[in-house]
Amino acid sequence: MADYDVIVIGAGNGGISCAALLAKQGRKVLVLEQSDRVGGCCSTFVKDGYHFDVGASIVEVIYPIELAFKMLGTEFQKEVELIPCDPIYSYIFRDGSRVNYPLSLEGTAEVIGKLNEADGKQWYKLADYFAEMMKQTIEAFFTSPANNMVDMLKMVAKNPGILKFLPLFATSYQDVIKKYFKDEVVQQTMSFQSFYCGLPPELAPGFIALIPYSEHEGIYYPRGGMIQIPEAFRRIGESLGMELRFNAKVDKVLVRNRRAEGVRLADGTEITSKLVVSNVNAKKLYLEYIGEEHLPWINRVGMKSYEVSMSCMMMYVGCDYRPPLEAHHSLTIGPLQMMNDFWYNEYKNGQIPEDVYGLICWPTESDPALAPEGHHVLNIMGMGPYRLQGQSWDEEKMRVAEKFINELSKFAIPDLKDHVTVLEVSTPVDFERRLLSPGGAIYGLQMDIPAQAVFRPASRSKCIKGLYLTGASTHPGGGVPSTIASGLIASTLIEKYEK
Amino acid sequence: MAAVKKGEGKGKGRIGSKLKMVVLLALMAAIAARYATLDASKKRFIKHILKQVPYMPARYFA
Ligand SMILES: Cc1cc2nc3c(=O)[nH]c(=O)nc-3n(C[C@H](O)[C@H](O)[C@H](O)COP(=O)(O)OP(=O)(O)OC[C@H]3O[C@@H](n4cnc5c(N)ncnc54)[C@H](O)[C@@H]3O)c2cc1C
Repeated sequence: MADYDVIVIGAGNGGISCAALLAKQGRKVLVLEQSDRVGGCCSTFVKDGYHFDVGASIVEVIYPIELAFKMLGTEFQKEVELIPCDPIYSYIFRDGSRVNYPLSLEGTAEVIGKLNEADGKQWYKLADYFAEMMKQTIEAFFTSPANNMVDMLKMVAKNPGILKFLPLFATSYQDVIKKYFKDEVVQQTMSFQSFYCGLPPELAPGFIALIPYSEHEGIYYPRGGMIQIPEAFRRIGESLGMELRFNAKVDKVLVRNRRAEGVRLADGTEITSKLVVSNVNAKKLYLEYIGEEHLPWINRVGMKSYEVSMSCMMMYVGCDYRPPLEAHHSLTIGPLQMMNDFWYNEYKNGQIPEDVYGLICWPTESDPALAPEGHHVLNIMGMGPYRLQGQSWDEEKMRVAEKFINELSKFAIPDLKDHVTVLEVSTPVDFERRLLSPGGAIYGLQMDIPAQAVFRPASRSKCIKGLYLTGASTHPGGGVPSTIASGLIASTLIEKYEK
Repeated sequence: MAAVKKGEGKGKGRIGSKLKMVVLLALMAAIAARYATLDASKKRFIKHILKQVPYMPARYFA
């Protein structure tokens, strides 16, 4: 008899939400996490009294999370206190001037209108179009399985309105933004969101242009740090009997006759189970933890063809003053074309960017308790390729971080360099070491059109029986709500197929 | 029933397949002409997608 009904590998959002939901189904669940905390990229660590978020810095499009907590018999906002962020973000130009986008659609139209009157009016058109898309797709696409063509047909049958948005799959993010806004400065302030899918504006799919609108449906920061979301799933899961082991690295998925039967840990311990749920990068899961010898040739070809998503560098800064910022999120990104050039010239060529393209998160603006009194936390995300040409991240990282902070001090956060009390840096290589994410990938696999829905590794494995996938590298992709949706989808499929 | 002369059906078939070929070539020429008018950025987007298309059948089974 198997030791457990289900073993879940990894306690990221996808894994821990799925584990809690499976415990709710009355299954005996064991979660194995190689690090010492839950949440993976959506986690928080403490250093010298400062609470730093590892990666994710806000949550939006919260419907899938609300649904997951509802299925657990509770409410998201009852389990986690959400602090609304308004303005949504502040765009900081190189001369220090700023454009702040408020939560309200009217306020945003006014801000855009000041930059370009016609574009201010266009904002409403973009908002109307994507509001409709949100309504049509959120249930049909984000929280429904997309394992095969039958699932896709069911999606369309349930909600034929989604067909209207198919043209967004044949156009780029940049084209959509340019279609609505003619002013280059307006376009510039919306050039960053393409990287939320890990691609530059001209390569990201058009439907990603939903994000500049969806942020206006509410963006939130959980009081106590991003870890509060996976912690809530952990708390509920454990109250339902779910077991969780930290510092338990899985080295192998035990497979016999193309069926998953448990796992082997790094220390050699074998634990058996009726089902295995993976929350780790799908490419690594199939090619390394399962092994090519267990895969039919078509799966091997498919798996090898995926590219892992982009990587980044995080600078965790504790400072002893109130940074002169105006929003929870601030952006220091260049115009659309510059971001495309950065992708080809620097990112793809293994170069550390010369300019300070980044996202500055200021969580203590929302929750002052995350730092000692009078102090603040800044989590700064910079662009950075995993492989550097002729350089090593371990040798370069402090120099790069200090340069970044010096540059930001000149135009974006005056005097920051004189107020830094703590500086921790996580390079793409560190992300790989700490979270075992290949290439330091921040969204699992590249979130491209040919790697979406039925073309992304399936939630219910097509070649290994008893194996289910959650997390950024399965449908519906990366991001806090999407990965929780993946946990929900896997648990629903298990309920359906594994009585 | 009208009698079909020997070879007549074959001739029609040949014309049909020639027509299909012409339509296909015209379609390809139209696509190529349209592609040539696109700006460099759109071409890069299309190439980026097309590069992955051959893997999509295998990905479907992944
Ligand atoms: C810098 C950064 C910023 C981001 N910002 C945002 C944001 O603001 N908003 C947003 O919505 N999303 C954001 N994201 C994306 C979001 O955080 C992730 O897509 C999501 O949290 C990933 O969840 P996951 O379920 O895929 O698990 P992961 O977070 O990838 O966690 C996987 C877990 O599995 C564990 N593990 C791996 N291998 C093994 C093994 N062999 N044995 C045992 N355990 C293992 C890891 O330790 C980890 O805990 C950001 C990501 C990053 C990196």
